[in-house]
Amino acid sequence: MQYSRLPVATRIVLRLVAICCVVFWGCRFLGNDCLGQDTTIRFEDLSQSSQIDFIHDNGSSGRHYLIEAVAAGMASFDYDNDGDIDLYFVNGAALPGAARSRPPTNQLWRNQGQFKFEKPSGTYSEDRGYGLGVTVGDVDNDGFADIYLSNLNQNELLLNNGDGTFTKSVDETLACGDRAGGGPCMLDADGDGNLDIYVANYVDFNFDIQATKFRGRTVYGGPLLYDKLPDNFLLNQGDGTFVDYSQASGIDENREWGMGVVCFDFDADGDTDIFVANDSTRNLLYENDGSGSFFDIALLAGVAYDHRGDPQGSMGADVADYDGDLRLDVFQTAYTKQLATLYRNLGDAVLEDATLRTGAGKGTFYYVNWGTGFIDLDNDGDKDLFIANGHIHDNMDDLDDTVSYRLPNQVMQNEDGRFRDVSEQVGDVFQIEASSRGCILDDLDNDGRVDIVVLNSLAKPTVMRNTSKPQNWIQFQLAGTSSNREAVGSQVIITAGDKSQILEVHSGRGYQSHFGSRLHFGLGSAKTVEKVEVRWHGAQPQVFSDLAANRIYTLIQGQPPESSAEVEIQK
Amino acid sequence: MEQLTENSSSRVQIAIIGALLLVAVGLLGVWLYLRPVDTNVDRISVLDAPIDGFDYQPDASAAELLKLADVTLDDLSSRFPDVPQTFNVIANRDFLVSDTGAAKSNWTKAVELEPSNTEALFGLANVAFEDTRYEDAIGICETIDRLAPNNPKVPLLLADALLHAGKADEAALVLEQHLATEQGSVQAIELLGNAHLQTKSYEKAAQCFQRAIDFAPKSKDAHYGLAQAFARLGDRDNAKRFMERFKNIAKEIGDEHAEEAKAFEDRNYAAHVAAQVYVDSANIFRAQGDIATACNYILRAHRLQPDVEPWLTELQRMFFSNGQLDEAADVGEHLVGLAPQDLERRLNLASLYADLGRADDAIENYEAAIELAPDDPRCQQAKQIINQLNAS
Repeated sequence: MQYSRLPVATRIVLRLVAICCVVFWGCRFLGNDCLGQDTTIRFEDLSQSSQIDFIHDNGSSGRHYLIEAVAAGMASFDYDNDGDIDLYFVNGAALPGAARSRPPTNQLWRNQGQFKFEKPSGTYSEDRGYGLGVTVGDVDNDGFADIYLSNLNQNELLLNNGDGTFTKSVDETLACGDRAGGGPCMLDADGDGNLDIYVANYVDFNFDIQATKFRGRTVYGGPLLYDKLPDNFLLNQGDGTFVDYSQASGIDENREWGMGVVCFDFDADGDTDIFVANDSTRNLLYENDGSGSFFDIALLAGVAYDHRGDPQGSMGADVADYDGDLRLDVFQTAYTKQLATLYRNLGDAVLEDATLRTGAGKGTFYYVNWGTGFIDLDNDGDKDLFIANGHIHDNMDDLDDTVSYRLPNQVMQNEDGRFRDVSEQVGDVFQIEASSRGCILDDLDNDGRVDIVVLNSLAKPTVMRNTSKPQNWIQFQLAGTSSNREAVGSQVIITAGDKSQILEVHSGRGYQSHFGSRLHFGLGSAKTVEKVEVRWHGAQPQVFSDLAANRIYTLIQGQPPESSAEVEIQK
Repeated sequence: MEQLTENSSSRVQIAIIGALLLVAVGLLGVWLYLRPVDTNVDRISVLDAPIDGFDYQPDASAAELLKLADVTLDDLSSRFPDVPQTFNVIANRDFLVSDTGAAKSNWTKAVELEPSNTEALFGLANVAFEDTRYEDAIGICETIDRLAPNNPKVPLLLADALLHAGKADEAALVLEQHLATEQGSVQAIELLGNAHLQTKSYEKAAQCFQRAIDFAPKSKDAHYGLAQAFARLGDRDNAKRFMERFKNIAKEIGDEHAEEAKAFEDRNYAAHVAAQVYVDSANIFRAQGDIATACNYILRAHRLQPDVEPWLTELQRMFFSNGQLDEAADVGEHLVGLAPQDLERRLNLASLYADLGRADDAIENYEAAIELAPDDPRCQQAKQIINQLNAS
């Protein structure tokens, strides 16, 4: 057939097809950049070579106790102050019907550098309770980070002795009775320089409540089968003891099915507020009056429900400023057939569900999302999202062909305030399918790129090294003197070039986990940070000028910055 | 002497027994005279009678019930392999049991057989929406809209997909167009309110949600949206007022969900799935002219999930069209039992009785209908029929 004999319309179509082919192959030849579909974020799988042989045990025996499905969180922090960020995995314990020849315990893994980890012996950090959540903070301001664990029964505080060992606190108030804990976090609620503890409680757990049958198969019954419990708020007396301040603080007034918690100054009034992600019911946002008294304003603030007023199976939560307006926004993960939700902070104590506008929930509908981190993964100066996925039902593959028990994790790249799911392009490690729960995002090899470790239910963790295209960065390790020692609640605002960024030090975030005590900023092409403002929690701010990029700075309250040597950017 | 006494005692006994028998026969006669006349006294209603070929045990497990659905679908596939609707029925079952991938594949087969099959296209649009492929969902909805412009479900899904794709302005246009003809669609009004919230047109959003509340005073979504709109407009008092109302509605719904979760029975869910498969399959048999099998399948559905009124109404219609008037009347009686105040059903049943020659039953139901709505024109006609029935 002669081309010229074709009808005009067909010729036009063929010509367009030809042009598209040229553009498409041309773009492939040029490296895809002109299609706008490329990402510089890359991760490699170092799970094997990291030497970590921890295997999470949810204590199951086939009886399908709900609590098995939601375990557990993990933490990253520098327990021995050697400058390397270490890992702490929370583990379950044998539940009725299960027998274990060796009882599972939590495990601390010391970072030896070069992405090698070892399990130090004799640290006494191996709590044997049925672990659900963890947070880290220096409750006694001795310069060494302590561990608080929320368990199925009694919670525990492990005090860091500073010599590589921990001692279990004997303060019974910290146990919070026999409640099935959710996410714990620490905050200095009353500005006295001591870290207080907030613990979300999940359900009034009862072994007598039977598993549910669905399509003839045994599955976990949801939280709706259980009674709700109020959360706990423990006020640090500053003398090594805590008082249960739940009632006096107003926390006791609400009862929901609590999961992930993140504390942050949502209304920029200088005190720390609390966001609680609740499963299958409204979220809570406690506004702090500055004295440690709280009032839930989630509904009015717009974060209790999604944009249609529907409660979500909220799991984890994290906060960061995704749109560069220097207000901290909230991202929360959710259950299957819901979208993970981004709440944009509009100021004046109002947030709006910006999920649809920003595409932040795209690709999350079928998955159950748990851990999350709102962190700059490509050092381009804006905050990307990591989401850890995995279903609760271990027989999900027999029940639904859109989703499995084991799922791949996701990366959503921030592109000028809109998010794009780039998971398929960031490395084979994102093809690994596991039933992930808690996760941490921290720079584990001190190369200026944020790495990721994910706790996988009933499996080994996934250890991911960030090998993204290098760009400039800066990190700050804060140490309070009049503020609490870990500087939890303090904020750092940097200006590099025409861009300002804000980060806040948190204790407890994501899904019942803790990470990111050392603040990480991506700088793109900027080699100098012209201005650094440190808003110490409950104290006067400090301002520094012209800090060189690609270094880790230690900022001790009231002192000039101390810098590490420049970290050479690996090409 | 003793012999004499014995003989007279026997006679007395016989006399007493005879008298008792006479009384019993008399009572039977009185009962037969007074009892309601029912010509079908020995007939078992078609809704209770055994169903041909239906091997169903009332204590069947969820897995067994789902197996019944599988067998039905296998049968359907072998009988009507080239009928697009067959794949729609299979896809509907897949979608119900969350096998969305399989549903997508079956709807795709239906579209391959019949590119203009709007039911399959709508299924595919739903799958694309769930899969967060909003642009695909939008494209498919636009295709359906061209093929069947009056499908009221399509503009709603299209608008929702546009909203999720961040195209709130376009969503608003679609909804405004839809609302020009479907003015009372609460879902459309609420979606429009959400579109206005997305575009920061808070006044318009508030108007929409207020209108939705006028139509549906207990709408959770509308109360939430209205409170959001007021909050954005800086009207904190009204925002609080509607938040408070929303909170109460949300709590009620939350409590209901918790109760439902506690009462969840896997078997009931499986029965629902199997019943839906039977009903969907019945529609195919009916379309193929096999009314007997269609009726049989709806009877099976009724056995699994009793008293779904649209199914029974359809069954009655099919029995009637197939000339099975007794069976149609059985279903009609059941429908009247479910809603004795329903005029339509009374008149329908009365008419069926009249056709069956059961004049007394017909009159009784016509009278009941007249009592329900004496001024209804159909009841005036009913009076004439009663007169005719009495005369004959």
